Amino acid sequence: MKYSKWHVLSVCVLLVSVLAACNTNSYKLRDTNAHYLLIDSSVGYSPSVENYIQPYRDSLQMAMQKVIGYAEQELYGGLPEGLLTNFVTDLVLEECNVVADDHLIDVSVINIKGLRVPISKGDIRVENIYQLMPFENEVVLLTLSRQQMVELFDFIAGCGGEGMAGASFGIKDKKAMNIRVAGRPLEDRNYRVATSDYLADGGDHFEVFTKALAREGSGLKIRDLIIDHIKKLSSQGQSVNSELDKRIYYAE
Amino acid sequence: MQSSRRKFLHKSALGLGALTMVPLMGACAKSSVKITILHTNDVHSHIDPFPSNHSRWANLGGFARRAKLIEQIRAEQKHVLLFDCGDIFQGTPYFNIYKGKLEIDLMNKMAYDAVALGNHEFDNGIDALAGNLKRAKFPIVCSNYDVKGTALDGITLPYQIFERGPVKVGVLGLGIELSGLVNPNAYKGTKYRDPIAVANRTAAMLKSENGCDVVVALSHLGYRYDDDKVSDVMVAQHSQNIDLILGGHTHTFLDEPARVKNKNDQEVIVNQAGWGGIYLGRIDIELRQDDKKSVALVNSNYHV
Repeated sequence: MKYSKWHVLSVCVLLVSVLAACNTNSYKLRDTNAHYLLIDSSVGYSPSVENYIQPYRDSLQMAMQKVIGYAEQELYGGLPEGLLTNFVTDLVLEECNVVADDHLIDVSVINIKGLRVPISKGDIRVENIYQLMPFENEVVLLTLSRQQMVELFDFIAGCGGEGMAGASFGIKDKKAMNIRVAGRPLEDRNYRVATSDYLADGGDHFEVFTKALAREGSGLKIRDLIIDHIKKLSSQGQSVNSELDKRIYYAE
Repeated sequence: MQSSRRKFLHKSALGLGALTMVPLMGACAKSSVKITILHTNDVHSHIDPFPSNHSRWANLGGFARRAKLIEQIRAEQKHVLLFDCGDIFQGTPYFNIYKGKLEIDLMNKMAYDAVALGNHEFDNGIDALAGNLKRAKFPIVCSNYDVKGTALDGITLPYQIFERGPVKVGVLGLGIELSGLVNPNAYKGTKYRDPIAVANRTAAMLKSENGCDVVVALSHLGYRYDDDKVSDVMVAQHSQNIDLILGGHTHTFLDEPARVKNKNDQEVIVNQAGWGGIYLGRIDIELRQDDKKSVALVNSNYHV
């Protein structure tokens, strides 16, 4: 009996200990295994999620087909200036100045390559503007010194032109000459430039923007600005048009 | 008689002990728990698969497919956690037209467990974001934005703890510095705090005070940068108590997760799953009870 008591006791101790061991909340990470599961058509689809999306997809299609304006002529890009870049940079400058509370924006710069297709003559649908501006670029407002403005215009001159509004200059030996902002020579002050976040980050080699004295987000998406501007023109009975005005030209 | 009875009792006690011990020890020896962590990041409103004329990702992605895959994995695996690391919004007309409602509805349907905030979540302003997040049935985890007094006050949580079987998983969230990325009006009043300090503080608390076995950081800081900007890899290097960092923002496709040594020379797993819902990240983790502890206890009793 003595032995059995011992054993019963030991079994009890064992039980309690084992249970206690199993109950300790100390789990340690021992192994990991990672995969990236490609989502393609072989996955199949969830009918309930698909059914939920369908009505949204249908009405989205309708929204994209909506006509928002009319283009008098085809607006396409070009160097040193183009109808398309002039139209877009003009409206960016105009719309940014509507929302800029205190300091006005002097110049806007949008890269030609960021505008992916021309605006065709005739009806303009929402979808066309998504094709023109498929990126989610936002307008950012930069503060540049006078010297940085010269650097900016020289850089654009070196590129043979770009999308720009609010200023003009001639290109000679890949440098900007006869620079004018709002019709006046550069003054000894800082300037405010509206551009895309892409260029402000130094995209397309716009390195001068990365050295800006200040940078502010605007919360305005370039595509939304274009769509809203075209809608505004239509509501005022105006169509979409643009012209070449020698804002950037080859100087001899 | 006496002796044989004693023997019988002896044997039966041993037998009982053995019988009781075997399944228990078996249970204990096998007391490893597998948790499947699924994660997405930077889905950017890609509700439908990428269009068939897309230059890189033609016909890939799509919420209905991802939902199906998640359903399947949940049916196969006992313990699943589904996370998103931010930038749910912005990128297709679905967001421009429906303002984020559809993304949140679908993530509710997919039963996401927790989500971190990306910078694009603020695109329509903090009030619109708060409106969207109020519809979310999943917690929005953000440890390093102080949102006191903003529309997000009471909506984002500094951490969330999940119990999966016997395992406690603590989840914290790290947001990127919004200044310079987002219009200041759109995140008005939101104060950014140093992600490394906050992550370490939160992770330590999750492990020591809340008894979490694993700590996962859902981050929108970005995978890694050339300069000294804080990133997931940098957080991992300076961290303690974080086991896993799931990230976003830099749209990084990896061949495999990075294994980064932390301050205590322990491995932190840093992962990201590209963007656009092209991939679903899957990390299966196996946890075992502290072997030393249970072995020691069993042994000491076995020899009594």
